[in-house]
Amino acid sequence: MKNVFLLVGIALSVTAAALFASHTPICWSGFLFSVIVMAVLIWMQKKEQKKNYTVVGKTEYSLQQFEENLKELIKSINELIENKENENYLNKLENIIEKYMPDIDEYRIFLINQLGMADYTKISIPFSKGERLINRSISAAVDGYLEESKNNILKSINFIELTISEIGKIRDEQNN
Amino acid sequence: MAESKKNIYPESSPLAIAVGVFIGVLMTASFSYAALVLGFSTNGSPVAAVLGWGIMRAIFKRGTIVENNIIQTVASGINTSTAGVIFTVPVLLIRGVEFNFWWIAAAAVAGAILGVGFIIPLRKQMIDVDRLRFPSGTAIASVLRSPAEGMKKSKLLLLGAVISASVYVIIQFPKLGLPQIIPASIDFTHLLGMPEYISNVWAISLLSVGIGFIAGRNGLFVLAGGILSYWVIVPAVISFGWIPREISIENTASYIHSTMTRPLGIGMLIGGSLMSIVLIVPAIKATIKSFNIKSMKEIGSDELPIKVLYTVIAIGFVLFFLASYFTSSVGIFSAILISVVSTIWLVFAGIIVSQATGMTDWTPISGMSLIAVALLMMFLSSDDIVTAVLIGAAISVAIAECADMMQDLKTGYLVGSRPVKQQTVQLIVAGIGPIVSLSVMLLIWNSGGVDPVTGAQLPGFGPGTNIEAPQAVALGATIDSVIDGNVPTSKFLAGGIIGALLSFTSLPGLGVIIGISMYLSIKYILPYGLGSLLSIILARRKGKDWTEKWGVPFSAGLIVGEALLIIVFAMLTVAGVL
Repeated sequence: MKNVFLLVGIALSVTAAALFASHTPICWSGFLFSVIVMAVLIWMQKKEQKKNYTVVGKTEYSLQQFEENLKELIKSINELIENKENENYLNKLENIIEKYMPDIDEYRIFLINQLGMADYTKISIPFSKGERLINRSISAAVDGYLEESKNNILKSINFIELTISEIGKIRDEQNN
Repeated sequence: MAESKKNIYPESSPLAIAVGVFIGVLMTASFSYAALVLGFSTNGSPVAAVLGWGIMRAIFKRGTIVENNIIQTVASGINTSTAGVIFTVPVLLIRGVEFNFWWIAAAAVAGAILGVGFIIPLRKQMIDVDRLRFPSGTAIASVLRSPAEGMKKSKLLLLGAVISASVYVIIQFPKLGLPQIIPASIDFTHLLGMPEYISNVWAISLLSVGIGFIAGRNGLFVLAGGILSYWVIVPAVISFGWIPREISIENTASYIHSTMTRPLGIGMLIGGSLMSIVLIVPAIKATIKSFNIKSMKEIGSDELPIKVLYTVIAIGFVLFFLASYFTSSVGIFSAILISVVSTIWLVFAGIIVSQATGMTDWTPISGMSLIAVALLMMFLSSDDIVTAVLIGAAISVAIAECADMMQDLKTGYLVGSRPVKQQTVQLIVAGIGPIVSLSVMLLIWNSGGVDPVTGAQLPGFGPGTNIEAPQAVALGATIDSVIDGNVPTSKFLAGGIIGALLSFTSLPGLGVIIGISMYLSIKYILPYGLGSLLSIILARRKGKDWTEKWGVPFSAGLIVGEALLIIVFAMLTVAGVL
């Protein structure tokens, strides 16, 4: 509820600032007052947001949950590759992705709050590369290039493992 | 599953590049004409994706998803420069200013090369870290992957395309000599008995609804910005009596838009983007470090090597410098200074526009080119219009290329293309677009003929002709206001402060979103906002997965259907059929 009031306050202060700025010449005293109010409200809203998006332990959107999904993803992909049958390969691959691939867009704000921007970046870069290779693997399978698909899915595992290793390093740094 | 193919997975094949160039040149020629007539250009990527698929499958009986992505990358890389050229250079012809065609072309080509060269290193930041949505890029990926999405999704995409194309055709009935059934826009101002100055006009554009749907939550903030600008500030300004008496009631809203909300919006856009850049410095540092992570290097990089980019940027800069030196009357050091300052602005503007496109799908090229020309004219002597327009054209082309490259890379990410392939082809073809656009522009100008009495060239476009070139006329008005010293710098500054502050909220880029919505026309914001609202409601009722799974292909269809028909009608107009 507090967050809603803060957002309404920010919207009103933006409106006031824009109105004072619309006058020709600009009404600087009114504009600066609105801008200061806006800055205070934004600061309060940031604090509130930090409280709302901080997750503790293994809950939805926690780093731990993210890591576990990645481990499950690797395990399932390895099983798919080891089972050399091409029957329903694409369907099986898509099912694995749908089930275990974490939606980083959903996790993003929680992870940034938890880790900070710099550490989040260390995770998101190898993860994104892995995700892109998985996307390529699906495209290649659709086009009938199964070897290309399997090569890419294997490459993607390297980057998912790298993501897990980065998570480990960040956790170690935090513990120290 | 078809039998496995063992040969190499085709991506940037010569055939794909050739088809992309063919479609790109065709689109650039027709869009250049349409932009002169209508004053706007449109995103050619969805159309290129559909045409590319059709040509490859129907004529050449081949084509992979990533190959088709290369086709749309090439075609849009050529076509995207249209707005940059057509919104700027025609002003020189309209004003009867003499200029050297080849130096203008060289500057625009340099701008295209510099835009692509500078934005490539930011791919990781915008796509991997910021995860910008790029609604059209997402829609194109949905189109490209439609064979993989199963019959149901493909049918949904097709259904969306058929509905939006049909609606567009019905809207165009008067052009076909048929009675009007659906108007191009509906004015609810009168229907709801609202005051004349509150604009409540809705463009009947399913394309805008589709883009708003894919933009999701960000679209709501665009709607909020539009409401603030058109439904709060305009009535408030009028009720406070802040309008000069000589402005008539029917011109009130446009007066407020051009002198108050538009400059404020542009200021917000710039302030918001610059602050966003400052706030992501830690992430940029981490991204740069990632280039050196040993394990990443061992597994292999898919990006264009930085040395290649340095070389390309150096070539672009030299070309840009030569064009400004030989066009302007300034000395060599001043020309170097102009080139350096313009290149710095080009980089910032490119980032600003790419971010705006990533968040909202709107590419504010005309606004950024107006600012570029205004700034340059303040630096240069105010009568050096040719140099200002030359640099303005180069900057506009550059920022369009930045936005297009990043959007294509987003599509590539979603279908699994290798970035290095897309980056290479776009660098190679980016220079084609400006030359095609400039040639079409000259051709149309010369079609005006010669006065039989005086022997003087008659205008082929501009005020008083059938082709009004509205953006070039707007640029001319900006040039006049700079010469008269009427640049609203204080409004830009105030907007910049608001935009910068909004970047600190929980929604990164809020300053950019609100800024762009204050600057745009309300008639497109409203259907866009409707699409966004529908997406949020459906996500709440049916779940986010359901919305992504079924809503995105249908919206992609809405975008493609209308975009395709826009091109068809533009080509029919060029051919003289309409």
